[in-house]
Amino acid sequence: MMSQPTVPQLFWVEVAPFVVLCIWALAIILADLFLPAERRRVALPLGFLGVVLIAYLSIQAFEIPGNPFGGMLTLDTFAFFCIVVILVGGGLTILISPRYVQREHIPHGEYTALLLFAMLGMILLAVSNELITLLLSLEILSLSLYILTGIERHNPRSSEAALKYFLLGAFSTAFLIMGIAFLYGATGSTFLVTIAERLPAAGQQSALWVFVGFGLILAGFCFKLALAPLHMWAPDVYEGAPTPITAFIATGSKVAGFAALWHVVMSLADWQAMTQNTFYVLWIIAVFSMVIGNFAAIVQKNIKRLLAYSSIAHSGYILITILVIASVPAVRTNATQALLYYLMAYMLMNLLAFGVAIACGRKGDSNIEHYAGLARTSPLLAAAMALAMLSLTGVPPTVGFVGKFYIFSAAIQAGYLELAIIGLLASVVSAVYYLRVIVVMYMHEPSREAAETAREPVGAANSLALLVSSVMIILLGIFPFWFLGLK
Amino acid sequence: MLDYVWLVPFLPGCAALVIGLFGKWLRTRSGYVAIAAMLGTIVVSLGCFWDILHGKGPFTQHLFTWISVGEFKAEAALLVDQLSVVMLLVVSVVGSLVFIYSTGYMKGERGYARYFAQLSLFAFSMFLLVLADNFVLMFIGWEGVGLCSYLLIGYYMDKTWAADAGRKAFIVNRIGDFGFLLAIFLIFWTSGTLTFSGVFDQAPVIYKYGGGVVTAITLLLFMGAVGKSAQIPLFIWLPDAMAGPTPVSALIHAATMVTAGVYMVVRCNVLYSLAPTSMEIVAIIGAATAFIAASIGITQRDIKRVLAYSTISQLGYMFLALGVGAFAAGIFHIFTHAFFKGCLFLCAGCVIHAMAGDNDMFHMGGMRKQMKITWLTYFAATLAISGFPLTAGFFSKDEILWATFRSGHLILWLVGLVAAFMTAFYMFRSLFLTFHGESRAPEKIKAHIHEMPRSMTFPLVVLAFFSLVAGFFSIPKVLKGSAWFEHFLHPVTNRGAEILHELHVADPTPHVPELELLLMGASTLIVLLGIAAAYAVYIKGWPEIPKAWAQRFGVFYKLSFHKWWWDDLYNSTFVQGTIRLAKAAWQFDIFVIDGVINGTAFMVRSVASRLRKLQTGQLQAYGVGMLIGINLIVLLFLLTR
Repeated sequence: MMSQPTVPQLFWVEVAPFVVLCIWALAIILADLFLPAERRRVALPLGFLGVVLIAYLSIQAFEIPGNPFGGMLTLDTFAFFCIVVILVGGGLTILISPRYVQREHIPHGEYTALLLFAMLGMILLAVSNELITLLLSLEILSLSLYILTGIERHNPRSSEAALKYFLLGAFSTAFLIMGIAFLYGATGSTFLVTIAERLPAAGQQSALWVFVGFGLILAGFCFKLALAPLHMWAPDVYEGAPTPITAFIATGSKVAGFAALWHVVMSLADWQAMTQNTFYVLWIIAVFSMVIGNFAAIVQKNIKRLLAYSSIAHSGYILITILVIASVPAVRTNATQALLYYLMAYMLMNLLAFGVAIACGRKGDSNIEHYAGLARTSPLLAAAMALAMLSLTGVPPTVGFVGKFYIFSAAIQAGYLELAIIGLLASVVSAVYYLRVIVVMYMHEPSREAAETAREPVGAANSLALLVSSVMIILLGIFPFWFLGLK
Repeated sequence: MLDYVWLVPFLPGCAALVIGLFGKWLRTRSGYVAIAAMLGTIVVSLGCFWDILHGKGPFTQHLFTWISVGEFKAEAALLVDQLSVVMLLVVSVVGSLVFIYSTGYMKGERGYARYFAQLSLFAFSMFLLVLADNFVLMFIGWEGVGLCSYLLIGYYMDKTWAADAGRKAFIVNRIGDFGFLLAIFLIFWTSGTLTFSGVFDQAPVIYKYGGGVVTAITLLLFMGAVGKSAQIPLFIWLPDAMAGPTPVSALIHAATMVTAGVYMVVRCNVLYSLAPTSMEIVAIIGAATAFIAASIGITQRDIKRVLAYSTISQLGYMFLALGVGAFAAGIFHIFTHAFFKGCLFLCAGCVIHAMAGDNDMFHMGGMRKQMKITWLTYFAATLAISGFPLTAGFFSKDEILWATFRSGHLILWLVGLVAAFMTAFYMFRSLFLTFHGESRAPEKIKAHIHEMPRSMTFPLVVLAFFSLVAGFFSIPKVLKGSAWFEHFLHPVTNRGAEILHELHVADPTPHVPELELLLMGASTLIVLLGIAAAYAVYIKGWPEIPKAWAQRFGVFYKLSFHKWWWDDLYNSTFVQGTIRLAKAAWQFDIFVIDGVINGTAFMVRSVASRLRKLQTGQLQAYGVGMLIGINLIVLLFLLTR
C-alpha cells in the first residue's frame, strides 16, 4: 500500500543541523582545493567551528519535538542527548587530531571533511525513525570511516585495516538490508512507528519473518557495535587506523549505533509476541562481549588493541541496558537514563585514553611498554591516563563508576541479578589490564632512550581536549545529574 | 544571607583546590589565599547568624542530589539552624585566627603551600560536617576532617614519630568511624531515611522509649563520637597528635574537630533522649575521661601534652553534660573551650618557637619577662579553663556541674568537681613552670627568647579577650542573667526533652536557686584551692616539694606519669595481637590465597591466550566467524521466542 505522495512540510530550523553540517563539510573540501598547501591546516579549526555551529543549531532544532522529512527523522529528547554526546565526541576528536595529522602527513582537508561526514551519518543515525534512512545514515557513517581508516596511504597496516573494515562492513550491511527487507515484507512499512502499529495485526506467518528480520538487523548492529561474536574486526581495525580515527570509531560510531538500536528495539518492544525470553539472545551477546572483551584484553601489549578489547567489553555492559529496555517496561526510564549516561561516560574516558596515547605516541608505535616511567617524564599525561584507566575500571568518583552503578542497578531492578553479577565480575577482571597500564606508568623505570629523547610538545588543542575530558570525567562523576538533568 | 550559606564550605574548598594546584607558584601567597577564604566564611556565618537570630530558619539549602536509587537518596543539602550557626561561628572565627597565626608560625617551613592547602581542606570538611542536613553528608565531612587531621599530624612526614602519630590517629579513629557507619546503616534500615529532620520527626513513633534499636543506634553513634572526640577508651591518639604543627593542634585537636563528636550527639539529642541507658553511659564515660585525663595532665612535662590531656578532660566534661541531658551546656562549653584552648595552644606555639623547638616545661621558666603578651594571654586563658569566677570557663563548666547535680548524678558531680580541682592545679602548674620563676633554659636558648611577631600575637589577644568575656553570653538566671545562649539553642537542643515530655517520662526536678548558688560557691572554692596548691608547690616549694611529692606518692605519680598504662595495655594486647594475627594471616595468604589467585591468574591467562589464537588476522577467517555468529544470533532468536 503506497501512501499519497505529498510534499512534506519542512521547517528550516528542524533540518538545519543536518543540512548545514553537510554543506560545511563540502565547503571544507572545496576550500582545500583552492588554498595553498601551507594554508590547508586551517581545515581542522574550521571543522571544530562547524561542530560548535551544529551544536548551536541542534539546540535550536530540538526546542520542540518534531518529525521532519515526513516523519523519517524524529527529534526527541533521547536523540538530543545522543547528538550532544556525538558532538562532544566529534569536537574532542578534532581537538586531539592536529599533531597526529601533521606527524603522519595526512591531508588536512579530506581528513576533516570525512570526519564531518561521519559525524553527519552519526547524528542522522541517532534521529532516524525509518529503516531506509537508518541504512543510508549508517552507510554515510561507515563509508567515511572506511576511508578515514585507510587515510595513511603509505602505511600498510592502515590500508590493511581499511580493507578488512570495508569488506566485513559490507558483509554485515548486507545482512542488515536483508533484515530490513524481511521487516518490510512482514509489515509493509519501513517507518518504525508504522511497524509498531501494524505488528499486533501481523499473523503467525509474518511474525516469523519479523523475528528473522529483527535477528538479522541485530546481527548488523552487533557488527557496528563490535559485540561478540561479531567483534573480530575491531582489534585489527583499531590497531591499524590512525589513532584519532580509532578514538572516533570506538566512541562516536558506538553512540550512534546504540541510539539507532534503541529506536528499533523500542518499536518492537511493546509487541505482545515479544516476551522476556525473546530477548534472551541479547543476554547471551552481552555476556559473551563482556567475557571475551575483558579476557582477551589481558594479554594485549598494544594500547590500541587493549582499548579495542575493552571497547568490546563496554559494548557488552551497554547492551544490558538495551536488554532491560526491551524486556522490562517498568524499568525502561531508568535503563534509558543509564544508557545515555554510560554513552557519555564511555565516550569521555575513551577519548581521554586515546588523547594521551596520541600525545605520547611516537610514529607508528603504541606499545604499552613505552609508557614505562611516564609518571616521571610527563606527570600530567600520566595522571590523565591513570584517570582514564581508573574510570574505565569503574572507580569512584569518576563517570565510569556512576555509569556502571546505573547500569547494574537497572539490571537488578529488572530482575537480571545474574547479569549484574557477571558484569561486576567482568569488571573485576578488567581491573587487571587497566591497572597494569598505571603500574607501568608509575612503577617501572623509564627506558633510557625515553628519558633522553625529549617528547614533542602535546600541543594546545590536545591539551585542551585532555583537560576538558578529565574535568568532565570527575565533575560528571560527582554530579551525575548535571548531565541527566539537561532535559 | 542564608541563601549564600553554600559559600561557607565552597570558599575554603576553592582555596584548597587553588593552593593545591598552584601552590608551587603561589608559595607564600598561598597563606593569604587561605585567609581570604576564611574571612569570607566569617562574613557569611555572621550573616546567617543574624538571620537565624531574627527568626528566619531553620533553613535547608538543597544543592544537588548525589545518588538516588529507589528508597535511598543521598542529597547534598545544607542545614542552618541555631546549633549549626553557633558551630559555624566558632569554626570560622577560631579558624581564621589560626590561619593568620600560621603565616607567622610556619614561615620558612618546607611545604608551606601544602600546609595551607590541607588546612583549607580541613576547614571545608569541617563546615560540611557542621552544615550537613543528613547523615551521609555528615559522614563525608566526618571522614574529611579525619583525613586532614591525619595529613596534618604527619606534616613532618620525614620524621618517624610524626608519621607514626598520624597513623595512630587514623587507625584509632577508624574504630570509632566503624561504629558511626553501622549506626547510619541501622538508622536507614529502621527509618528508611537519612535526613536529620526525617529521622528525628519519625523517631518517637518508630523507636520505643528505652528500646533496643534506639539504644544500639545511639551507642554506635557514641562509638564514633568517642573516637573523634578522644574519650575513654579511644583517647590515646590525641596526645600523640601533638606531633603536628602547633597551630594544627590548636585548630583541629582542640577547638574544632575533636568537638565534632559532641556536636553529633547534640544533633541527635532526640535519639539520645529516647535511650536513657545510652545517656547514662555517655555521662559515665564523660566523667571518667574528665577525671583520668586530668590526673594524667598533672605530671606531664611536655607543655603540649598537658594541653592535650586537658582537651581530653574538657571534652569529657562536655559529654558529661550531654549524658545528663544538658545539651545546650555541652555546646556552650564547646563555644568557650574553643577560645581558651585555642589561645593556650597558640601561646604554647609561641613558647616553643622561642625555645627553639623544646616542649619540655622543666627547661623553661621565667619567660614572662621576654614574652609579655604571650604570658598575659596564657594567664587569661588559664584562668578561663580553670573556671575562675566570671571568666568564660566558669560559666560553662559550672552549668555542666550544676546540671549533673540537678539530675541526681551525685557521684559524677563529685568526680567532676575533683577533676575541676586538678584542672586548676595542672593548668597553673604549666603557667608557673613556663612563665614564672627562674629560667632553666641553656644560655644559648635563653638569649634567643623573644616575643613573637604581630601575626602571631594578634590572634592570641583576640582569643584571650573572648576567653574572658565569652561567658557573658549565658549568665545563669540565678546570677540575674538571661541564660541567652541556652535560650537561643532551645529549639534544637530541647527537642529531645519535649518528646520525653509528650511521652510523660521526664520529671523536671524543681529548681532551687539557693542550692545552685551554694554549688557555685563550692566549685569556686575548689578552683581557688587548686590555684593555691599549684602556687604553693611550684612557686613557693620549687624545686623541693614536687620532687618530694613524686616520691611520697610514688604509685599515684607513676600511674599518672605513665598515663595509667593505657598505651602499654593496648600495645601488649591489641597491637601485638594484631601483628601476630597479621603474621598468621600472611602465612595463610602466601600458601592458600596466593595459590588460588595464582591458579586463577594462570587460568585466565591461558584462556586469554587461547582466545587470542582465534584472532588470526585473516579476513576469510573473520568472514566465516561472522557468518557463524550471524546464524547463531538469528537461530537463537527464533529458538527462544
